[in-house]
Amino acid sequence: MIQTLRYYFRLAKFAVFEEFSNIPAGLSRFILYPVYIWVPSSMWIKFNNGPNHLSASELIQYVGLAQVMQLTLFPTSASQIATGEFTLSLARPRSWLMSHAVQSLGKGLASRFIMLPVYIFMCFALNSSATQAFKNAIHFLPCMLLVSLVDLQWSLLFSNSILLWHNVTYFRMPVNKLFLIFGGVIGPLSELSEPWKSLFIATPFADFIFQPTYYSLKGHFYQMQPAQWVMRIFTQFVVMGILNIILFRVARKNHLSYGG
Amino acid sequence: MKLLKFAFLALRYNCSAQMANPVNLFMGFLGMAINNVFFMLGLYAVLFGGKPQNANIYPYFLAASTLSFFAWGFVHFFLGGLSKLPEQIDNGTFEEFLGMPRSPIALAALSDFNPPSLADFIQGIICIGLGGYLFGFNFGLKLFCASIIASIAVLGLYIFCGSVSFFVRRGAAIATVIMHSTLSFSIYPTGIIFSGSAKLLFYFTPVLFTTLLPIDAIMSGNWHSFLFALAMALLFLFFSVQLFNFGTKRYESSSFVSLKGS
Repeated sequence: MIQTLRYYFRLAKFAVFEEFSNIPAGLSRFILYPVYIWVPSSMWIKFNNGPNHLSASELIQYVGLAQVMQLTLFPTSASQIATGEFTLSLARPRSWLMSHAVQSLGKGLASRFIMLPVYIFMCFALNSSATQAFKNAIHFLPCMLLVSLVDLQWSLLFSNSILLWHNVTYFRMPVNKLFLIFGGVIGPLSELSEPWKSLFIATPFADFIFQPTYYSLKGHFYQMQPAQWVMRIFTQFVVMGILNIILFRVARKNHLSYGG
Repeated sequence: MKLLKFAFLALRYNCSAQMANPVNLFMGFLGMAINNVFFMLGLYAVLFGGKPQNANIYPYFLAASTLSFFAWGFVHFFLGGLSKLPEQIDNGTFEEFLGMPRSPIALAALSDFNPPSLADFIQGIICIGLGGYLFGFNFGLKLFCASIIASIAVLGLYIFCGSVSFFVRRGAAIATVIMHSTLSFSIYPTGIIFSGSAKLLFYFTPVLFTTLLPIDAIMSGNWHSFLFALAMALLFLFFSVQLFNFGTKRYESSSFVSLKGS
């Protein structure tokens, strides 16, 4: 038991270091990151001249933090499944699901930790308060840990679905867009007009990105108690966890390998 | 003429290969269509939901979306191999195109086919129809002409990005940055979001050819602007092809050792 736990811990640690050493992907992400902050925040500032609750400086900080989550979604590559990594794992004495989970968690957390200092620097570069950005990042950490668990479940849901239906890879982008739009990455959902606001905030994607980001900036969740948000995140984690276990059991029996 | 015949043949074979797995083709198409609808919906909610004061920018928003869908969809779908060009040059698989008696760019472009991009292309055509329906036939026609110009510019951009790999190590990563940032600036209504020095900055990037000039032509509506946008797009394409040809001559394939060993 201890040996197994040690194995998974080492696997997660390896995934963390692997993420730190992925220089080309990291660099392109860092270069694109300011673009993804600059364009939506400028668009919002230009075209939303209503009674905004967030100032221009806060808006840059909001979009920056939301983009940290958006850019690091679904950390594990699904291509491994297509190339037979899963088939080989069936002959190994460890659970593929668990290995995949710890790798995803390690990669996800590492990529988010790397992005946070960049976020502070970008806020400073875009004339927003770096001190406030630092405080936001500190507030964001506990939420990030919880949200990473749900991200892990989404990642597993994707991987398990691909084991069953290989064509699901094409739906990675639309699901990403669900988080982008309903999660409030291109603008804070609290400042949308009705009925868009009520519709978007009710989705689980808003719990995933908008609420933790809003909490980091304002110190409270939007129209929600902290316990209520934790409950919603916990419910998502449990429901998707059950779904993943069922899906994995079905997928293991019906998987058709394309490689290996 | 021979090249055109070859292109049709390649397209036919690619289509035939995709039709052998219609589920894959359909899922790719559906995935991209849903992706685009979500994005349009989100931008619509942010820009126009309960904001009647922004109604005047709707034509610009529609034009930016149309150009992006049509141009990027066209190049990705019909000349899908170009999107893999930087990586092919990086890892040496581009070498196989150099040993054939045809243009390496054409061979690379026609070597692949991207099924999801068909959805982009069709959504671009739908947006042209929508523009014509909402703002009159002339606007629809202008959208169509600008989309063709933008397609030429996007083609130039892909060749330019491929060329980067000839001169820089890990050029594929740089090409990804150039393409993604250009696409981001193209799909958002960049021309009206930014003004002054921030907008001037875009005049030194490919966004000028892919988005700013074609949309300016649509908005101003005179044929001089269309001709200027077309001339600039052709110039950019010409420059990219020249750069690519120059790069081909000094290409040192990274797979040289493994090829010798195999």
